[in-house]
Amino acid sequence: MYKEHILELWKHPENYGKLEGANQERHGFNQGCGDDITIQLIEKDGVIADVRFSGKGCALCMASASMATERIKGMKKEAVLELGSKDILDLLEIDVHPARLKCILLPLETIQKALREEN
Amino acid sequence: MTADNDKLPRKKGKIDDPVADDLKKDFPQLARKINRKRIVYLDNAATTQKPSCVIEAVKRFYEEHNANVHRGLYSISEESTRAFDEARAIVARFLSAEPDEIIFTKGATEGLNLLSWTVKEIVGKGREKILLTELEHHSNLVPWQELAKREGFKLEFVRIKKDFMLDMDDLKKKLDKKTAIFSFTAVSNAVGTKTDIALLSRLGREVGAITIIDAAQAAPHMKLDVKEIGCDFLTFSGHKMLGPAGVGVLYGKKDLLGKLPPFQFGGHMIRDVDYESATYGDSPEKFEAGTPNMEGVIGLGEAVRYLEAVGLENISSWENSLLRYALKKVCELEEVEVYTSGAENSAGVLSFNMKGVHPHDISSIFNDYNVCVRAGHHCTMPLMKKMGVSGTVRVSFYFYNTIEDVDLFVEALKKAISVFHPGAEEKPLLGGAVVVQEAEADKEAEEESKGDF
Repeated sequence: MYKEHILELWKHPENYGKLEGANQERHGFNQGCGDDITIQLIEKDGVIADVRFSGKGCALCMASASMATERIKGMKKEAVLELGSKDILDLLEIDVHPARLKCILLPLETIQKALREEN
Repeated sequence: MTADNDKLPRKKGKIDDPVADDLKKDFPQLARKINRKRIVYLDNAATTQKPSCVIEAVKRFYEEHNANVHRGLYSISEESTRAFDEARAIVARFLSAEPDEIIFTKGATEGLNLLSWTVKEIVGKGREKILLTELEHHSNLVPWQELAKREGFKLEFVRIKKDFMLDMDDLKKKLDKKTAIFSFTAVSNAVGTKTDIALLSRLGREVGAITIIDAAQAAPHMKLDVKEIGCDFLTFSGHKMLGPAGVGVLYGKKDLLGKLPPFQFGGHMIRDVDYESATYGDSPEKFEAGTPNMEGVIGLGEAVRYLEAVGLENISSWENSLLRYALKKVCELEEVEVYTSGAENSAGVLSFNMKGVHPHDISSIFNDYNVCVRAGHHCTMPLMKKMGVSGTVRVSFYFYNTIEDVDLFVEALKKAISVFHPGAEEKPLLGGAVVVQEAEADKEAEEESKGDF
């Protein structure tokens, strides 16, 4: 699970930090392990103009948040809402133990909750 | 229908590495291999493995004696009832209690819930405080929070010091004549700290508080004599001490059980019933409504017989040797932060973090080595918050663990360090038997105990 690219994103996450001018924000938390992230995004005309995340979590959660935020930039909201666990696993290119699925899915789920709340 | 004695371990006396390795053979699952490597089971504070004698006792019950207890007037029902009652007698002897002071529950959590719903009836007038400690598992915290909400009790907590030991000055300040209930753990499931349960019970008794001990992490590992301890109630779970899951024990002093109202209502717990009302039986029936977990209770009885054959003092002593050895090895690794009261004051639990790394990432690496540990908040979220961490990695021993188990754990830990702290120098592993330098291990453990309070 801990391939070089995962560890690299854990140490140097992409899209990490506060997003000025965000019009959507959502907090996500895994009770069992303490993964704790906040997603901020700017949605303009149904498109994700920008997105950043902050918080703390395990290496898998951080890597997944980096990749998921990178993936959705410029995507249409509807398309983001259709993303599923397979899309995230494909992005990460790793086999994940079932117990760790919740770590890698937390960022996408939080993004989708943020987007749904707007309706 | 008592199990065959030849399934119990022979009296072996003191446990050392070869004896532990031999005892391991009584546990079928410990022989299992995954990816051609054996399982290194170090999550005993979560649940323990089951010896053949317990598995067979449960199987035999299903195959030969299955009938509802205390009901049927036929042979197999008499057999099941006899086995059930015998298990209660075994557990009573185990604690130096009387059989009617032993209530079977589904676990320590249910024992504490039972008390939280009933104990109000026996606390003295004008007593408004429930006193707990900062070490408690959620099971000895949340039920009391709910009781406090329902009945207007005030919750207070005995502080812990930086070494996770109870602050006795704080305890003496808070344990007063206003204290209705003083409920505390015997061993912290998160960091392994032992509390002085006899002393705490005496101090509680002196101010007239009801004293309750969460012994979930103590009953499997040390001799408990409720008469010597002097507590009012004590509870633990079967599955953490070789028995089946879904069965536990609540001990209560006979006179107090007599005064407690029932917790649940239904069959078996009654004396007489009319359409409009009912009267209730005596302890333990009063607290055991419905058909009990018969096979669980019988399995637990067999587990206690096994533990007594190994010897609780031998178990405590060997686990302490394992902990000293593990502490010494882990404290050599500068990337690791250990949370401990030191081997002398701990049961077989070693809790730690690797600097900057989430505990779940460490335990995932361990899984590649079949090293089974717990990572997370250990159902002690307030304690984790106090320590300033989201969780820890917890290694917890039982008597069937060996020095090799510890070495394999340390090897996995070094691998995790090399993954997450690739710059760190890998120190060579020591092979073979290693002499445990007790004083050194204690000293280092003390130095490494850096709870951020």
